[in-house]
Amino acid sequence: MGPVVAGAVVVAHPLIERRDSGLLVRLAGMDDLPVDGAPQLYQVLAEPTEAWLKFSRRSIGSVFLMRTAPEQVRAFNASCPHVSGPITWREDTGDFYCPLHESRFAADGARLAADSPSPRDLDSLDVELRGREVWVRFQNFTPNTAEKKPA
Amino acid sequence: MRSLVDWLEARTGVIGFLSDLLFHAVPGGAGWRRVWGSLVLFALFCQAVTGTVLWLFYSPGVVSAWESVHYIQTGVTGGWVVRGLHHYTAQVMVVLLVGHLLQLVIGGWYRAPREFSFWLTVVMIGVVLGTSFTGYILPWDRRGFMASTVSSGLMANTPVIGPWLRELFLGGPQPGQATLQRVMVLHVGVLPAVTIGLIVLQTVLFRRQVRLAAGRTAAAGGAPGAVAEGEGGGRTPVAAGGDRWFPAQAWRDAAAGAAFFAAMLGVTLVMRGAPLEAPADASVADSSARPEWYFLFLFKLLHLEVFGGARQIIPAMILPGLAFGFLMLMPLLARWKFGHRLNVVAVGAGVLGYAVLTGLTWFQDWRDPDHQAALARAQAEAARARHLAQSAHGLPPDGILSVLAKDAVTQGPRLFARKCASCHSFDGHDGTGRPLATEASAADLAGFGSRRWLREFLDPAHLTTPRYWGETAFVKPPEGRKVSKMVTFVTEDVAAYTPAQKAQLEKVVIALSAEAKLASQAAEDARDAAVIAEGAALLGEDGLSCTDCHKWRDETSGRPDLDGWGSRQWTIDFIHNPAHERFYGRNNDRMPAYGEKGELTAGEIGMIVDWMRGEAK
Repeated sequence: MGPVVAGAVVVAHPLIERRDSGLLVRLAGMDDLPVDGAPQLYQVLAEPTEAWLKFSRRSIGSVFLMRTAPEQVRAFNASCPHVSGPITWREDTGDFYCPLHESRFAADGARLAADSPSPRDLDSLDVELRGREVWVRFQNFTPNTAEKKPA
Repeated sequence: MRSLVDWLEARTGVIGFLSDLLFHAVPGGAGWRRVWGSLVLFALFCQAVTGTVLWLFYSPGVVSAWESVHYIQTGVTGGWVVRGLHHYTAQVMVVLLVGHLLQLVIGGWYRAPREFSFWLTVVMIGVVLGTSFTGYILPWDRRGFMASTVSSGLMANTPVIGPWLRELFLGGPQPGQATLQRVMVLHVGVLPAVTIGLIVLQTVLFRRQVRLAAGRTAAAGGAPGAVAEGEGGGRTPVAAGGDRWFPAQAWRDAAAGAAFFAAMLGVTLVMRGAPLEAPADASVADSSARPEWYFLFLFKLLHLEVFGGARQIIPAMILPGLAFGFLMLMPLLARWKFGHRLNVVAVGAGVLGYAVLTGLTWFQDWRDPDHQAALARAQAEAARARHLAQSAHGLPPDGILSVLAKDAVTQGPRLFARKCASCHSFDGHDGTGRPLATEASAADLAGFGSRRWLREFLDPAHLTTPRYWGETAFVKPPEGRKVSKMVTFVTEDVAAYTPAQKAQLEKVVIALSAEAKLASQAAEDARDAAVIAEGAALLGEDGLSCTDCHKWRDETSGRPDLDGWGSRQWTIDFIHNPAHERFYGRNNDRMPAYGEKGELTAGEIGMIVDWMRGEAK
């Protein structure tokens, strides 16, 4: 049993690792966001680490920013809360859409179908306004759970 | 010789084992329909050999998986053939196993006393599907990346342990380096070990059945002469009219194996090896990825609305679980009077449903223009990545993505879509071929700098259309501002031009367009050198007086600067800050100073410009 227990602990390493508390990034200037509230997609650039690898500046995800009032900004993680598909904003139908399993979300992030494939609404992110700069705490959440838990 | 055989047999039993294996009686006689089981074994053997060879060259990792597979495809002698054999045999393996299962069920060969053998076969199908699934994640192309993303997302939906299960599989919070290593261990270590274990168990069961059958035949007395000659001491008896595996069935199995291998080789050669899609890139929204065809039915089921939300667990786990459970119960059900018929009908219905769902997904994808467009984009990106990897004669240690990050052909359209397409279109689309999210409010930039573009820009019929300045503040000024002088010039002065002036304007167009130094126009520019010189002079006071407003040659004031107009450097400087005194100054409409504000790096601006000019190589 000894080797099995020792092995199991090591295999479970990813469960024991510390949680992701998010990364505060400057994504846009307030004036870059249309006043009509149309969502804009921004890439989050960072220097992420994976195991022993540390990458130079690269995209670690994307975020939708939109104005909800002249001085108010809302942010969503652009990864679908179902199984992490790429969410797009559809101007013609005025909804967020995931092409993988056709989940749809309203502009406020709420699911648009009672039996949406997604178990929760779009993942909103904390926004911090510093003068005219829009800062967002970027975070990924465990997909496909009703509860929004940091991955 | 005889004593050596006896010595070996006495110490290892290997002779008796081989004798059973080679000379066992084939129940019901030899025949072609009995080759399936051997074919499955042969296919597994092919996978073991080709897989081990691939393992010599494959390197799991986010900066090496796609790269090493590409190297196998292009740099390793015969690598693409071995990978092709491995890939296509994996595809056919699923067919072989399902065919074998159907045969066991329809022939009633799953009933007593062969329940265990049947159960092992069912487990084997699961293990082979798992091996195939982990196998197509390994190249870390779009399909592999999406497979790990979606499947781990589905795992997270498992009650209670879901999120842990997901991270145990991924080896971290997101698919990446640790995922590839875990998947590699499953694919080349754990699952093959389980497969070998299953084969060993099957062999043990098989030998026991041979012995039992031999006992029965001997007890029944057998037909005279049918009892084997005593050579080797171990040959089991054969019933009258029966065949031994060797040679009657052996040559059929061998022929089937040879034909199978030839077919796999043929498919590999015709398809030019296995496909390698564009490398995995979490920042690219690619909706074209599909699971391998044998999992398409699951993909389809997950799309059905009845399985939305919390009910997704039904196709993702409950249905496969029920199917597995039913298969395992079949030998017991068969004891009931109608059990066998029920089993045959159920398995038939299952296979039919599987085929219908698979076919339906294919058909719908084939008819879906959005999917076809996404597929075409993904294929173009794959071709570009392969081209770059091959033309560079080697890749840097930080992988293909670092090369693609500096590639104008790849990044130009993406950057345009992200940064420019909120106002500008490119030949009507957003640079990547998708429609614009919002109506264009500034000029279409396809062919910017060319004679055609400039000719239309200076044409009263075009300038005020949305394709040029129609939706800009130059044409529709905000309250308290006037229409741009350039617009008045075109809509009033140019509109009233005489034919002679129009001829001069055409020469100006040719001269100014030559400033852009477009590679695509180099031949015409060289041919029209005289016209260009003439046009250059006509920009001044003695011609159309462009220099009244613009900086040009000897005229050192005015804006925008027409010296080098539309050239690579001019365009880069313009994007850096269009409100610079050299360009629009305070008359700049809404265009941000992308370079100055750090929205785009110098390298990124260069890639946009190179791509727009069609000069990205």
